[in-house]
Amino acid sequence: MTALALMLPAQLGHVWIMIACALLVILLASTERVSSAGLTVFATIAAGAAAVAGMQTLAASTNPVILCSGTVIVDRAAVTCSIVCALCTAAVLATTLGGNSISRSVERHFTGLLLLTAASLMLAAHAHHLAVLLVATESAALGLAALLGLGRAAARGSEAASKAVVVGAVAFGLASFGMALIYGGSGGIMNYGGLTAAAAKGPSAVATAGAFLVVAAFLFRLGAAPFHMAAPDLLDGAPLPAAMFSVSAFRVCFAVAMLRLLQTGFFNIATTADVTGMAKYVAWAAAASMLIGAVGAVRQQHLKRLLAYLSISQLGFALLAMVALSQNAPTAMMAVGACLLSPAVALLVAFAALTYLSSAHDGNPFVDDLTGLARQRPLLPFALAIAMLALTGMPFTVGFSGLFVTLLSSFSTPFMMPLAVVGLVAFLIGLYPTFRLIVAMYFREPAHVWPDLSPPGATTVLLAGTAALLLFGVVTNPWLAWARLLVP
Amino acid sequence: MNLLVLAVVCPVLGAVTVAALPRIFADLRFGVALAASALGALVTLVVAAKFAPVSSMQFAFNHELAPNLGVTFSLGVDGISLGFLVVSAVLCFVSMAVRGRAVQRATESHVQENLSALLLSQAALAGVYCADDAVVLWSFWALFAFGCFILVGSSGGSRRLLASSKLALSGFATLILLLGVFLYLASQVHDLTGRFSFDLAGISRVLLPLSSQYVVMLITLFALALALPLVPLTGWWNDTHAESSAVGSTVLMLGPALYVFVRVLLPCFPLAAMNVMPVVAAAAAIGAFCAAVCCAFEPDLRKQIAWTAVAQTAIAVAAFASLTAQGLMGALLVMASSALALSGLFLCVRTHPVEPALQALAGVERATVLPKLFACSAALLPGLGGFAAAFAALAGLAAADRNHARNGFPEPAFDMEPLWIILCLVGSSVAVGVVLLNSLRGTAGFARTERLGLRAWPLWLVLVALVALGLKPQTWVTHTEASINQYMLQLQGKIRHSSSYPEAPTHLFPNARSMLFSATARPPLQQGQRQ
Repeated sequence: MTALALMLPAQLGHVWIMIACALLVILLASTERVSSAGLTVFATIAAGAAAVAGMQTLAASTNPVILCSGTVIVDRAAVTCSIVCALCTAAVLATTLGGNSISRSVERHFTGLLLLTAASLMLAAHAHHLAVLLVATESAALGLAALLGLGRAAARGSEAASKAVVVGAVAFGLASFGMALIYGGSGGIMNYGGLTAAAAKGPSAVATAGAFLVVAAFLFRLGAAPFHMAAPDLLDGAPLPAAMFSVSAFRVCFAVAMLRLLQTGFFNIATTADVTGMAKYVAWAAAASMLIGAVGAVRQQHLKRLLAYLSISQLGFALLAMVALSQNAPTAMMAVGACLLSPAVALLVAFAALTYLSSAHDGNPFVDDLTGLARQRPLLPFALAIAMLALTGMPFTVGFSGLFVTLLSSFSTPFMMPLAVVGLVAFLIGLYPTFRLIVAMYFREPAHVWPDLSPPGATTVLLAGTAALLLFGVVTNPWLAWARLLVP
Repeated sequence: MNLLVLAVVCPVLGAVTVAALPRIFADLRFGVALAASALGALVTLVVAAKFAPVSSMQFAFNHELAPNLGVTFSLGVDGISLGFLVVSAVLCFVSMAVRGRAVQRATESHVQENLSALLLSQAALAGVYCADDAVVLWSFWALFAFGCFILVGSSGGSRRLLASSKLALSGFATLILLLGVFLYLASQVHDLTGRFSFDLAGISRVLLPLSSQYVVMLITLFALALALPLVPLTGWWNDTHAESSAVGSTVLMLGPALYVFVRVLLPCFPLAAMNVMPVVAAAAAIGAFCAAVCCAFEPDLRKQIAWTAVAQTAIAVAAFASLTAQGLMGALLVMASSALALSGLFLCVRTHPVEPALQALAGVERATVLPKLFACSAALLPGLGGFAAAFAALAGLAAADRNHARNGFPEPAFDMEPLWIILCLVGSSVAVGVVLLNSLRGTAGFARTERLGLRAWPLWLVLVALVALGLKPQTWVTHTEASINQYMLQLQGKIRHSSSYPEAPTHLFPNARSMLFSATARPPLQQGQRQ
């Protein structure tokens, strides 16, 4: 029992719950004694239970604990990230209930695979060792590639699946090569404590090159510019729940894992004058992501691609907040958390609305397909409009708090002021696609009759998410306090 | 509950109720919206009745939204904001009462959006005019811009979508520039005090070096000139009024740009403002002249009214630019009388000729006496609000040189001859008024006024207000005088202080003399310090 307790520490209860339930779901799915809906309900409850377990861990412990021979850390950021991951997973599973967003033939595989990917993401958030990070991120990325590839029966799905594999391979190559360089350059150090000490002494050129490669791998996985090319295609061809998972739980966990790695001393390497080379590197990626995401969204007709580009723009704001954090800018911790959490919720709601729409529409809808939707289904366009407004950062939605805190941090640091101006420009450009969608839904005549379909799961996510987007847009203080917990 | 909070909350609740009412209660929508709007307007009237003519903020309400960021939901009203608050709430109610039912009939499919947007705009305006915090002000202005976008986009002419897009683009361009300015000022407060603050009084205590003042002030000035609008940035304004419904045009007339001009631009950048304002006044006068010329050649009555608004705004801006108490008082009066008269005119003009339902409602006839009287006020006819307001504003402008010498400013700030500016402004305003009156005779223009019948009763109240403003402006003056004097005292103090040390590092006014040129003026951030 003692050996088991050492192997499976209680502080990681939420991860064990997720892994155990994933294995159980995969086992049950293969026996075909339980219906697909039953499996989904069970998996949703399991994800909820993992979130509750995480909350208990969060309430019980205040100090960081390093476990498993220094390879795993349990701190507020990791546990909060796991809770967010579990809640997003539950929301994704709930949207599949009663709808046709995912084909019946693959639904059974989807549920187990999703839980397993979520467990890997949780582990990535807890990683305190490069090897654990590599294994966790790669298993999560492989899981996500498989999830994205579940829609391969369609032409776009097939393209998405192949691109997911290629992106995964490139990112894996960059990450593993980079980690090997760090390992060699720092004299065989793999755990974060050692890396921090090595960075303080001044890392070697080889380790520095490795660090840049590892960060590039993360940017690749996150879909940040200039590695963003495949991201819209991946989301476009993927089944809706997989796309939803990819822009919420996957992004939050990967960004937190990347930030933990950067904070080990990566941000302090390659110092040139006052600002480190790594900070400039991430700052360029942030500026490019904000602008490319916003400009790319302007001409998109396809709703999924539009959301994909806006999510890239929001990722740019999160990277901007990370750079602000590296410069010790005030409120930067809040900014990073809010920039990760707010778009995740907004995208969950937007994709839930898409799930709703795809239940009634043959294929994934275009912006013009939604003309006059407000006259027939008032709730749906309202939720979608609020999600889009939150995604662009309008006041009285949660999106504003993230945008505002990030820009405030950026304005407080002279090096970042031009980046803040880029952020403001991206904000203005990003409003155009949002307003275009609102014009289509509210001001134009209906294009066709929408059947009265209300998938129960998607409706629940839609209502709860919209309420959260509006409520925490006004009551910002608790939201920002929770968001701050996400930062290591 | 605090009265100002109530003035914001009543219309918001009304908007939510109207939006959430199921179709079987469709007939109740207009009634609910009218009741909510009336309640909001009534609350502002109670505020005006209870208002004590002193300089301090009254009916204050404070609730910390994000203490770490220095953002507080803080509301309050003083003599400067009181007029804006009451006029905007009352005109929103009047437009709802006069045109709300017509909107419901004409745009049956968009009635919920229309009524909700009007109520949200009313709430947003109340929020802007009561806001004591820059973020709260900015957020309510954004809500107002969004409400106007919905109002213009959901009903009006056939090209309304293009007009609403232009409106949104210009509105949010203004807002984004202003957000940048607010964030910059808050970061300066943080550098000086170690904590963020968006309190309007707080950020206006930051005195930047003159070179920085110029840069930030010009950004702010451009943003506000786009929103006001001033010539040559009027493209979106005329197009929007040409395509918008009467309600949309009325709400647009109540925009908060000029209020932000008073609250932010002058106090935050005093020395740069003093140096630039003569140019601004001259530009405003040229803009008014251009507006008059364009108005004379414009066949569309709605665009003529829009050009009139541009000319009247130019008078207000020139009066602000005089940096005198009298000018400020006059500018506030101009904005109030202009909003009352031109909103009244917009509400009398038939919304759009291509809307069949409204065409059926409209009696295509010669104008009744009501719109003519509104046009007379715009033409500065004595006895109406327009004349009294323009007189006060231009008298302030004429006294600028004398006042500046008396206040001990280093150089007479208004080194441009104000007489030419005054003549240009008066001539332009009278000219646009005459053009309007000529159009209302029914011999020109393709938009016509409509006979509103009993629905016009609130417009008579607007006319009474205009007459009261014209015959007895002392009531207004009594309420605003103390606040304006206090405002001018602080502004003059800042100008004197700033002109003594124009390139001093950023510091706080007024207890900053000891910090000038001191290394401790900017305490460096501690390594690892975070909030």
